[in-house]
Formats: sequence, structure tokens, C-alpha cells
Amino acid sequence: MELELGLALPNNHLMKGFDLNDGSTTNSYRKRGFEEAFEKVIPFSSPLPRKTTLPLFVHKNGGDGDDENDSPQLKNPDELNSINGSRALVGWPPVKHPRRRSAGGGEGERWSEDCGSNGDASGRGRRAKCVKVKMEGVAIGRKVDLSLHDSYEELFHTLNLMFPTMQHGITS
Amino acid sequence: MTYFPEEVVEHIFDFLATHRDRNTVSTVCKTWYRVERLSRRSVFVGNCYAVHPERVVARFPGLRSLTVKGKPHFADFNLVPHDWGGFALPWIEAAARGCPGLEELRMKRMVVSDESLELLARSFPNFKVLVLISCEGFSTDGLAAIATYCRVLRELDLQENEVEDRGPQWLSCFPDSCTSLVSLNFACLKGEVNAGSLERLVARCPNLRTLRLSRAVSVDTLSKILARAPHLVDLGTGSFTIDHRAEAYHKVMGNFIKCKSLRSLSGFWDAAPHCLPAVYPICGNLTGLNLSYAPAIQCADLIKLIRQCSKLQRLWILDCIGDKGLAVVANTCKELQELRVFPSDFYGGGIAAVTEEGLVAVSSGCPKLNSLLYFCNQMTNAALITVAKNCPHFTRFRLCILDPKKPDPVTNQPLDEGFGAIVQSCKDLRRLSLSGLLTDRVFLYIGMYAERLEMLSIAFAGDSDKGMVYVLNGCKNLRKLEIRDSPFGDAALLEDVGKYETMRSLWMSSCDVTLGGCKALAAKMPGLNVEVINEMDESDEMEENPCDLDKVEKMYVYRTVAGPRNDAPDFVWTL
Repeated sequence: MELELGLALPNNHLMKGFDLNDGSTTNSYRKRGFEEAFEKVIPFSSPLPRKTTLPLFVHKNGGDGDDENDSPQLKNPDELNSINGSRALVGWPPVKHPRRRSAGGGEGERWSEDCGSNGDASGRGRRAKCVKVKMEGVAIGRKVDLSLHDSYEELFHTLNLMFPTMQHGITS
Repeated sequence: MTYFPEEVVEHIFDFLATHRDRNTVSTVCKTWYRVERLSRRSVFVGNCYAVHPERVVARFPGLRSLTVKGKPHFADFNLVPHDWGGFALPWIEAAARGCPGLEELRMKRMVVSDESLELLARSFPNFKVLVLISCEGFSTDGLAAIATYCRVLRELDLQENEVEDRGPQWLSCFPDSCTSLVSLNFACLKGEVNAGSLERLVARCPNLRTLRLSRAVSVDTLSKILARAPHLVDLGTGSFTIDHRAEAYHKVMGNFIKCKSLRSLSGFWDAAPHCLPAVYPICGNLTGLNLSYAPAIQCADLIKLIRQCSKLQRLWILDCIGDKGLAVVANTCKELQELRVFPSDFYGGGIAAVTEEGLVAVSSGCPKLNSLLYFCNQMTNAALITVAKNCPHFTRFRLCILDPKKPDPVTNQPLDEGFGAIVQSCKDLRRLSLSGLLTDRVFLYIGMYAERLEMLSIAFAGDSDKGMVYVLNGCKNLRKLEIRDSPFGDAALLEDVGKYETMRSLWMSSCDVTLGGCKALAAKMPGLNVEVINEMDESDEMEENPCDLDKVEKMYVYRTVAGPRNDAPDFVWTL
């Protein structure tokens, strides 16, 4: 069973002016697709087709779920979500400390340092916003660095990785 | 064998090259035990808590070389709390009391204080070699003590340590009489370096063959050093930024040309593409190249450089080399044995990052490839099967697909078959790291085929306890097993408790093992330390009343003859 998080979005005409980025290419009379939301990551030459709606649910399947939401247009943003989200896991990808500090580019460090007292403060270009997430029925909470997530979908993906044996759905 | 005088037995033991063999002969009879222990010169302690330092020193009074490892491997990725343990001081104190003839000390993932370095420096008049890898807890003051008091120091090798900078004076502490250095690696230091001291030191050490500089060392200084030490074999450049129009550039290139013995290059901090041609003259001789700290160098320039390195055996590079670049590696570097492709920052390199194509190309072009560390965005079963066929000689195969649980993008299948092909084909495989979407099936294959496997790293893999049990039942030579975020629980943990005494250690974090399971293991196996690591949080009422049914966050199990350790912090419970 998949964890389903409901993400209710306002309708088309209410989306005017709502923007995650500086919105220079926002088309005001239709919803932004993922490509625009993540503009800074996908280059302009990307062949991704323009989407007109944002999906309400994003399922990150473990490979055995139903594929109804896994349309080809979703693949790249989905991958981005998962890669970005997975960067928020402590100790993932498994790269040694000195390498993390020198690998970061102009965007600032995006790797997850260990949230809290054990983190190494040097080299971090951002403040970690760590929260402890507890799931009902699971005794051990997991720490999540919110500042590493750009969207609800990324957070969802990270949580999905941290709590894989979810049996019931949660609606927001 | 009682007919042989002990000197002869000792002489025969000299021919035993490995620790394992010497350990084995010591168990034959009391005489052999005595002969072996008195003539033993080198000891390797894979887990510092497996045995008391005093016991090692008492048994091997003639010890000249000691290697000790501390924290578990996953400490490299921030999974082990900083103050977990692994202190060097007890070892150095014990050695200072019992083995005054100690000449070499190698430590990995240990906490080394300045106090212990000072004790080390003062206690062993014949001390020659200090190697610290991934250690922490010391500053440049500790290095100053080493430089000052170790009169016959040959090797000071600091790899990837966290060193507090207290100024550049340490380098000036090498006395003028110090001329014995063969290897000096301070690449991990972050502070200023006294260029003059460095140049003078290099000038008076004619045997210097390995020199790895830190980022603070300029190209200008490098140039002068190369002029003084053209016999260098292994060089780590410091900061490699030069204006290629300037005279300094031509000077450094000219000095590089003189280094006919140079076989290995690393460093290249802050290197920009236009600086690389300075090293073109010596590329043809290189057997080792590490460009993994030079993110500004993109595919095209990497290709230009690599095309000239036909003798390369070891290549460490960033994934901005791309599949295209790896194809060039495959065509050029026919002697390649070890390849490591590290992830660069995603936001620049998303397009140029490597996929299964690059790996297949290298496997096809480099038949001698036996060691791999590969971070990529995706992998397919077909590619892994091809790689397995092309390169049956892998001893180390570590694959990290950046997105956990990602399936084969072509078939949407788990990567069980691909990894299965690897373990089946590579009969000498000693180390394996898995990633991507994996079911219990991959562990069935590993248990069946990976007979020589010694170390296995698992993350986000498997469906049930069966997976872990396949591995524990099948891999006869397994020494280290580390697992994170996988659904293995008490049933798997307790299936074969005797197995853990044949292994060095087991690490499990964010799995389904409960406190009750850990307690049961500890109760059944007194020869193991079962450590449960639960970092306390003020917001957790649960942790004050731990219940046996609660899952443990982190568990570290290791065999030991030393009993529970007495230096464990509050959040580590030894059951």
C-alpha cells in the first residue's frame, strides 16, 4: 500500500502571481508545470513538453505499485524530486565529509549534514532546518532537513524512504 | 617440529606474509605460540574494541608496527555520533609502556588527541611512520610535537582527517637535522602553510618520494618545490590556479618536465581548465591520477588530459566526465585497474553525470579493471550483466545509484539480476556495495555465489528477513556487514547468532531490529558486544522507558575478548 498525501491546489485562475521562483517565464494564464517550477535546474534546451496541470498526487512507487500516475512527462521532475529528496537523507549519498565540502557548487552546499549536535558546521552555505518526524505506530523518529526540500513532493519522497512500511493513508 | 630449534622455526615464520597465517601458526602448540609472539613485528587490530591494548602489547613485546581501526565504516557518512569512541590514547599509552621499539603506527577512524600525539612523539626513539586516515581530535600542535621529537621520521601521512588549525608553525618544527623524510602528506590541512619552511624541508630531504600539499600551497611554491625535488614519485599539488599567460605558468611546466619519476598526481584544488596543460608533459608516465577535487574542470578538458595518460592504472574522477569521457578512458587507459567516479554537485552536473553506458564502455575497454567505486544516476540489469562478462576480475565493486530504490529505468525491474551476474562472474569479489531497487532475490544470489566476499554494504534493499539470512548463511568469508534502511528484523538477526563470532562486525541502522532482539542476541552470545546507539532527544518521552518492542535506531555488534567497553558515552548501551 502506498502512502497517499493529498495535495490540494487552487484552481487555474487563482495561480496567477503564485510563484516559487522569480517567475520571469511564468505564463500567467495557465498553471506552471514542473519545468517552470524547477527552472533553475532544467536547462532551456530540455525537450520536456509543456504541462498544463500539476498532478494532485505524486506516487513514488517502489516498482510494484500501480503506474497510473507515472506518465512520461512526470519522469524528469519525479527524478529530480527523488534525487533532491534523497540528498536530505543523513549519510546519503555515501560520500566522505571532505568530498562533500569541496563538491558543492555555486548554489551552496546541498548535502545533508547530520542535523543537530553531531553536524560539522564548517563549509555549510545554508542553515539546516531539521525537524524530527514521528509516524504513528513507529517508535523511532527520523530527522529531516527541511531546507533541502524545494517542494512537498520532495519531502514526501524523503519521508517515503524513511518510513517504508506505511500501511495507511494520510490526508492533509 | 620439536626437532627444530626455535631459531629455525622463527626463521620459517619470517616467510609467512599475512597476519592471518601468523595468527594461525600461533595456535598450533605452545612452543609455536611463544616463538611467534616474540618474533612478531607487525600487528593489525581491525576493531580497537575487540581486544585490550595492554593485552596486545603484553603478547607482542617486539612489536614494531601497529595498525588499529576504530569507528565503523558508516561513520564516514555521519551515521555514527561524533563521540561514539575509538580513542587512540589507550593504545599509545600501552605501547609506550610495553613496546618501546615501536616504529610504525597506522590508525583509521580513531579519535587522536594532541596529548596522544605528544606522547607518541616522545615515547619511541625509533619512530618512523605515522599514518592517520579519517581521524579527528587533533590539531597542528600535535603535528608540531611529531615534527619536533621524531628524529628519524620517514613518513607522515595524513589522509582525510579533521585537523584543527592552530597555525603554520608545525612545519617549521622539523629540525634542520631532519633529512629522513620519504613521504609527507598534509593535503587535508586547512590552514596557512609556511612556504619557506616547506621549501627548506623538501630541499634537505633527498629521499622524499611522496609529497601531497594542502590547498594553501600556491603554484609558485609548488614550482620551487618541483625544482628542488625532481625525484618525486607521488605529488599532490596544492591550489592549482595560475594565469597561463604568466611566466609562473611556464616555469611550473618546465619544472614538471624535469620530474621524470612522477607516477601519481592528485590535488588540483581550484584548478581551472587552462592550467592543466602544465602537466601534459608528464601524463604519459602517470599510473595514478586523482582529479576528484577539481569540479571546475569539465568533460572536454578532462578528455584532453586523459587522452595523454595511456599508462593509467588508477583514476579518481568526478562524474562531470560523463559517459562520453568514460568512453575516452576506455579507449586510452588499457592498463586501468581502479576507477572511482564521484558525484559532483547536482545542479551543475545533472546532464553530464554518468550512467550505465559509461561503466559498460570502461568494462569493455579496460579488461584489467578490478576495483570500482561508481556514483551514477541510473543502472540497468543489462549493463551489469555485460560488465560482469567483460570484467570477471573485480575484487571491489561498489555501485551507488544516487536515487535510493531506483529500478532499472528500461525494464522497471529491480537490479537483482544485474548484481547477481556480478557475484556469479567475479569469483574473487571481496567487497560489494549495493544500491538501486533490490529484492530478497539479490541476497539469494550473493549467498549462493559470493564465496570470497568479506565486506557487504546494503542500503534501502530487500523485502524481508530472508534477504539477510541468505547472506549470513551463504557468505562463508564475510567479515563486515553493514546495513541501513532495510526491512531486516529480529528473526534475521537471531537466525544464526554464532555467525557473528566469525565476523569482525555487524552494523544495522534504521532497520526493523528491536531492543528485545538485541537483548536476546547479547544474552546468547557473551563473546559479542551488542551496542545500541540511541541519540537522546529532549522531546522523546519514549526513550526514557525503552520497551523491548521498540525498534533500535542504530545497532553495532562486534566480537571481542575485551568485554563491554568502559569508555562508551551515555547514548551507547552495551547490552
